[in-house]
Amino acid sequence: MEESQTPVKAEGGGEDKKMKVLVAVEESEGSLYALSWALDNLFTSACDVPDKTESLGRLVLIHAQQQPLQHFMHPVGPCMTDPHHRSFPVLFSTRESHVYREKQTMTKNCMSCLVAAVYATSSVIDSVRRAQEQNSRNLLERATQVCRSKLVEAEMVIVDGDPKEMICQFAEQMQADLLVVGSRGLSKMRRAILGSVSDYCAHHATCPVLIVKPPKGNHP
Amino acid sequence: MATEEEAAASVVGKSVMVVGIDDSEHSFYALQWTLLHFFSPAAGSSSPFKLVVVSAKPTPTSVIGLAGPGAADVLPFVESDLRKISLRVIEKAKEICTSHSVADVEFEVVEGDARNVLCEAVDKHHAEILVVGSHGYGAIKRTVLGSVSDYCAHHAHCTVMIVKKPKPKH
Repeated sequence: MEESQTPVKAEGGGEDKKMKVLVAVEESEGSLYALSWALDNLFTSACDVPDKTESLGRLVLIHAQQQPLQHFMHPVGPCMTDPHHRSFPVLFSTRESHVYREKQTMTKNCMSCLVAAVYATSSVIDSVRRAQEQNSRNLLERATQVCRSKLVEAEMVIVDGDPKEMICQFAEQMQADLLVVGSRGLSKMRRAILGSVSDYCAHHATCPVLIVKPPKGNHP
Repeated sequence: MATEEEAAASVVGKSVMVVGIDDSEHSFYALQWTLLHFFSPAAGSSSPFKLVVVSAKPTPTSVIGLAGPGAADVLPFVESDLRKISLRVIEKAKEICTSHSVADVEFEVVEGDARNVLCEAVDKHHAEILVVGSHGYGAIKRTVLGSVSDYCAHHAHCTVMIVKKPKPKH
């Protein structure tokens, strides 16, 4: 996890313009495009300044990791055939694909799966966690490269938990002036529906939200 | 790719930012916020955006709703009332712009439903970014965006910025 502190000068020029911009970075192409769009359009006015963010505010990149354990609290054989838990299989079968994304339903199901969770061996959990960390690191490296190529310094933050809520909470904590999220740019049929994280942020964030859509040529 | 588009935009002129306003406090707040953060005087005249302020004037027929027996009589009054409101909105927007010393602004009043008007304006001006306020209803509806900003967030062909007026803390 990289952190670079940018000194924010309070003098001269862009006093009014100083903003704290929080950019949500995920593993989709859309959010990297959102990052480069934000860098291009929000930090261009001082083109001759070598380090643009000095006069223009802070840029913070936030990446939310999903907890790997949740993936394993899910669908396990012995649990479903257990006669004492006859009611739970119904929950599993109808919501199987959504269960491991929803934190709330997990608490209901977790009692029945506690047994199952132990079954998932710790080595499996470890390797998943390592793979996830590797992914996050790669992602943040790409994001840093994008920032560096535009001559902008950025801070990185990694948070654990549900991306939508974490991002909104963090925006509130750091009193961000602007929250930038990408949009998955789904295919024509679903073009009307925003990705769930950007939609949630648009509704729940307390600060202004910028939703960057991918350029038109990229629809599958 | 994005860089080609941007190169073209910078050759032609600045990229366009469309701000949608109506008669509410929230949209004026959105306009002020945008001017404050994107067009500050410190940047001089070299702000990267050209500002287009679009106000949607609802059609009288949509305002009247149910057509009753007296609808035809009411129509001219409603029409003139709407015209007055939209003029007032534009006047106020002009004031806000001059108070932030931003001169390169276009003002437009388009008749029609706000959602369609804003999305069409984006297409017409090939805007890079659309800014809308959000009505920010009370505590119960706080989680629900106003329908216009929600529609624009889903249907506009460009980046959308939704500016919310912060709630005063009690």
